[in-house]
Amino acid sequence: MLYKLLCFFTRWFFKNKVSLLMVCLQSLIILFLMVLGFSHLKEPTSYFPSIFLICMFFMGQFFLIESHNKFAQQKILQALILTGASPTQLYIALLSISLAWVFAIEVMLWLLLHVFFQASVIIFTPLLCLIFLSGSLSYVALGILFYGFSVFSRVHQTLVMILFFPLCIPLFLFFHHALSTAIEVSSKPNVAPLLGMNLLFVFSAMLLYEFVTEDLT
Amino acid sequence: MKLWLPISILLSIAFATIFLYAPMEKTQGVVQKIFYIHVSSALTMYVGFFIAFVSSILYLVKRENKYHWRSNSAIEVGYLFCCIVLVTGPTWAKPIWGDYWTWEPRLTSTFILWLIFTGYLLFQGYLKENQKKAPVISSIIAIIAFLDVPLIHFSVRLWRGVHPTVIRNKDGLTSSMTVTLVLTLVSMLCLFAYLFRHRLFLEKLEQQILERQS
Repeated sequence: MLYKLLCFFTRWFFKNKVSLLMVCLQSLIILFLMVLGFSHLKEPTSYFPSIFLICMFFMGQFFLIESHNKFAQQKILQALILTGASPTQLYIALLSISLAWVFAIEVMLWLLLHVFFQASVIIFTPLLCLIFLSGSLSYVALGILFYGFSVFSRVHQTLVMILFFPLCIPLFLFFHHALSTAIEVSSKPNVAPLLGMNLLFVFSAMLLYEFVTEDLT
Repeated sequence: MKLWLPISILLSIAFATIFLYAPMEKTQGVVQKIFYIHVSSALTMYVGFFIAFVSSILYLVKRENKYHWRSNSAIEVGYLFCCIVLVTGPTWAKPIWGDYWTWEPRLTSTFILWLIFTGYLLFQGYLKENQKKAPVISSIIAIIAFLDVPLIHFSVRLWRGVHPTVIRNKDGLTSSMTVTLVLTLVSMLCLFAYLFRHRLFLEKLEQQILERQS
């Protein structure tokens, strides 16, 4: 069942790629504003983690809002639950595909950051990819849970954003710390807090997702 | 028996102890007296959020409304104590650090906690129209918010802190200071229990009115 769900979501994301990409690319506007604000700096590389995280936060928000709006419009989650998919399977499939999507956009944003700031060397290592993945996992895991229940309230998107942002602050602090140390050649980044956070949030969000989807049948 | 009377007496005794019994701190002077209210409010706030966390889990498992009401009431009263911490902290910081606010780990973590539960209370208001789903969503948010508390604490530790840690410090408090702190803490916990009980009563009353209306 999990494999079928993964195939379904891959196909669904591929089918809706234009609208999803369009909302994710809105973060380019934020990136452009950052370039305007920080282009005069002599060593812009040290600001890359902060600029990247701001863009990533908004990109993730736009993506989660758009995908969940589409799920609600097309009644995708209800249909999948009715076909016999368990909430946990649904959650794992949705998390995997969303993470892959967010990771792809993050890599693109990171490379664009170098291009826009005319960095002399492009910093892109496997370790950086690991940090991107582990940093995004908790964010997407919590995002799926929060945007899953946002359909039950009025003005949900704005409110979820207000609620979601402070919850993500520790994640962003760990993420920023890991990114900042990763781009310095001499120092070793500490990914352990990010991995611990992933373990806690993915597990708890997976358990709680069952309660979000209980009324969908 | 009216509970507000013994609690008022207990609070008055605690305040009298702070100003009459507790010794004057040598370097900070009278401003240090805020410490007793500040620390006991912070501990009471954590008690409130912990009650909300446990009640939320119990609600999701047992689906009995009383647990949702408990969680909701504990968060509201805990939030009040969080506000007291955020007001007394800067009041104490101004004469000692020279600034009302610094982005110091302990201050930042309390502020983030305040932001999370502000979001919770805002969201709660908009969920009320969805009577069936509101308790479930509130419980989920309360659980995630409480799980976030230790993470906030550790994440902001990445910054260098100047906030004092007198309780875990052997030479931090004299015996009379400890007695005063314990007494203030007990009175704050009693105040919490009273407000919590009262809020729970209001919650039940609101539910009864809604049931009669429908």
